[in-house]
Amino acid sequence: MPALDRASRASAATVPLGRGALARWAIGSWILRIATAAALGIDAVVHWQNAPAYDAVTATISQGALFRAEAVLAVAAGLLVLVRPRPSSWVAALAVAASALAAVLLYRYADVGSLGPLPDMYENTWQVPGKLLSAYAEGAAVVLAGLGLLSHRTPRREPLPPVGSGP
Amino acid sequence: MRVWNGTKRPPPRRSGRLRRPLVALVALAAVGVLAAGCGSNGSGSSSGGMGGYGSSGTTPASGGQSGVATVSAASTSLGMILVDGSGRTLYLFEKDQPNQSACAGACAAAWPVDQSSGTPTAGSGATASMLGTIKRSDNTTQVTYNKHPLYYFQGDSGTGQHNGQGVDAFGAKWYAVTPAGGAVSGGVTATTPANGGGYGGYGG
Repeated sequence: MPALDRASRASAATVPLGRGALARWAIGSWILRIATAAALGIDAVVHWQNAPAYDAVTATISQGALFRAEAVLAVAAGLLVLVRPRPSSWVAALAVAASALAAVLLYRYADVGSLGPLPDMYENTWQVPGKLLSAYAEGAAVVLAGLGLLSHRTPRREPLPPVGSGP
Repeated sequence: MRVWNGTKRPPPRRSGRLRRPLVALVALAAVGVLAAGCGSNGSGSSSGGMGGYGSSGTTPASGGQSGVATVSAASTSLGMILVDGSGRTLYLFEKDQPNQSACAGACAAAWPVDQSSGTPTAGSGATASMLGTIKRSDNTTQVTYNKHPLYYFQGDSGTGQHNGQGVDAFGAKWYAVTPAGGAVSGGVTATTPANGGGYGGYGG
């Protein structure tokens, strides 16, 4: 049985559980956190590595710069859910993943042109290295971060009444 | 057996215990989906890891040239277009400058360049005087036609396919190339005179 780390205890603090249940909570929490961070990590690597090929796609800001910003934010959000699994961290991970997923789907299927300082990022193909993988990772991160957020909304259990306490 | 006082609803004893394994299971399922995504990413991509990362980005998807390239013309549903010696469709990139490629890195992984180890050969329907080569930044030699650097498309898995026609990627459109050295615009050929001054002729 793995030792319960401080972060897992903190994330389970709202749910008074027995030792076994707390251990199971910690395992589940770690799986969720690692999976979310891994998905965000994939997203980050794909965007970082593809960024140079998009530096020439530019308006006020280039698509390459946006990709690098996405990579940095994804790494930051992944680290947050790993080391500080609080609701705010899950919200950050959810926001990063959801915005990236929305963007890749929008620009894959809709030619919206340039939007304010954003360049025209329309790209009607998935045949870009890592693009599909990144989209899958972003989708997974959205689901996982949503679950992480929901796990903090578990209602507090009331203690069982003593046996024979009925009328 | 527990006895309740009957005045209060029994607390949801199992909900908390059930929810955590459920979260873990769903998390694992999501990881599985992610792994499946990794596995399915290879549609048309022959490069390793991360759907092509780590590669030089200049390796033809399949059926690429390792020796002297041949460029011919073939009749397709797009009309007459340029193909390589094995019949694979060749493309031009709207963003390229004459005899200068604007596609590298991830772009060249998605659109592998048509390489040649020597002077390319004109096959049936192609004009030999339009053929040429350029040296790329990675020291590979890319075939040009009417000063357009030529590429393959990872989305074409074999001969007779032209899935890259009209695709908008890496900031501009990609087109199959006519024997006259212009771009194929949709199903209509936008021709460029063989010696018709200047670069261009894109039908986009």
